[in-house]
Amino acid sequence: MKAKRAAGLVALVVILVIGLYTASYTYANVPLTYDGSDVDVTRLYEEPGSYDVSDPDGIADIIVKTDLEKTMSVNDVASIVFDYRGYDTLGESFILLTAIAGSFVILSKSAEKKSKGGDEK
Amino acid sequence: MIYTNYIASVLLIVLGLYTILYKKHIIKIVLGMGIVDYGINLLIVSIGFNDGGTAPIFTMSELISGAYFVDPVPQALTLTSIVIGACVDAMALSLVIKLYKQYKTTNADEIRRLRG
Amino acid sequence: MKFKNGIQEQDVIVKCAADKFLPFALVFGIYVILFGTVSPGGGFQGGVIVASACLLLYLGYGVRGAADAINAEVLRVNEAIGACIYVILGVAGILCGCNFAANVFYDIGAVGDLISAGTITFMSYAVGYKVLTGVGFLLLLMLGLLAAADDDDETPAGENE
Repeated sequence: MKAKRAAGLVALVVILVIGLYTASYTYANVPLTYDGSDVDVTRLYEEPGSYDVSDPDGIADIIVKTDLEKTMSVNDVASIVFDYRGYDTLGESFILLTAIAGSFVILSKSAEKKSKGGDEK
Repeated sequence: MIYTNYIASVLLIVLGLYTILYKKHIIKIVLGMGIVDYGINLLIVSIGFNDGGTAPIFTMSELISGAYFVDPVPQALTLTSIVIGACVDAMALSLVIKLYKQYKTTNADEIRRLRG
Repeated sequence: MKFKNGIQEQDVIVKCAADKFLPFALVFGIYVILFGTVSPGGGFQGGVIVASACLLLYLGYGVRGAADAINAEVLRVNEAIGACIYVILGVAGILCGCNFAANVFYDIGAVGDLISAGTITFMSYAVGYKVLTGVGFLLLLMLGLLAAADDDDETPAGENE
């Protein structure tokens, strides 16, 4: 048992060292995912169709530039969750349904009475 | 790209793993599962951050000329992940309640014997 | 434990604080759901804030008070109704020839209004309603186990309920 506990601690320390090294390397070398400093958002709000998307910088670039004229919603994050990726939100709704139905089945009182009646026989 | 957020998320994940492996009280094991979820969500949100950017919402009363946005895509995907973490915690705690009623103890070493 | 009309009452300070904070929780949660496309927030966030009203009732009035005020069967049925409304709004995009959750009537109002972005607003309402009823039912279910434990302790005749 002592050898198992010691081996587990050594594994955790190795994971910690590798994780810290990866975090430092990512901060130093990997570039930004979206550098949005070339979009003037006040001008984009007044004329929604004034930017061209022929040479985009990634998916976030296209979404920020064409969001107001395609969906007319001010909140970018809500339009991503419900319009561009509405299928993922459908799966998440069903996870909520499954978790609550599973808790209801586990914690109901009729299951307890049935098992007590079976044990007494 | 915030440096302290990356370090904190790695520390949270390792702390959660330590709690799952080395603690004997079953509620503490369930709490450890939750801490691993929170560490991963923090890492995903901190990846898309610019220095000097604001929230990606076009409200004209608060935008000044020359403002630019942060990345909105990781924020939208983290919403789903938070809900999944909460559902896993709810079901695990229901199982803990049933275990306590059956075995009358909360020590994980004494629950290992399967009756039957 | 004091009893008044069969409902267990807590201390005066806790009951008073729960009385004063309950309208704020309900109004603020419904505001966050309704203005989902104009300000930060949306369906999920607002639904959880409204569901915290069940916890405030439990803290102020005990388990019997919370279970008598809210009918748990109605909450359980309405959660499925919220999920069905979300699916119907998503299929409305397929019936018009585009993909699953396409925005088919997006030019109803101007930018910045309350009902501005077509299917996004109504899908947000459906998800907010679903989270509201679902999480409230889950809280009442787990708190209802404490009523069974209390009744077993204090009824010596052993009557079931």
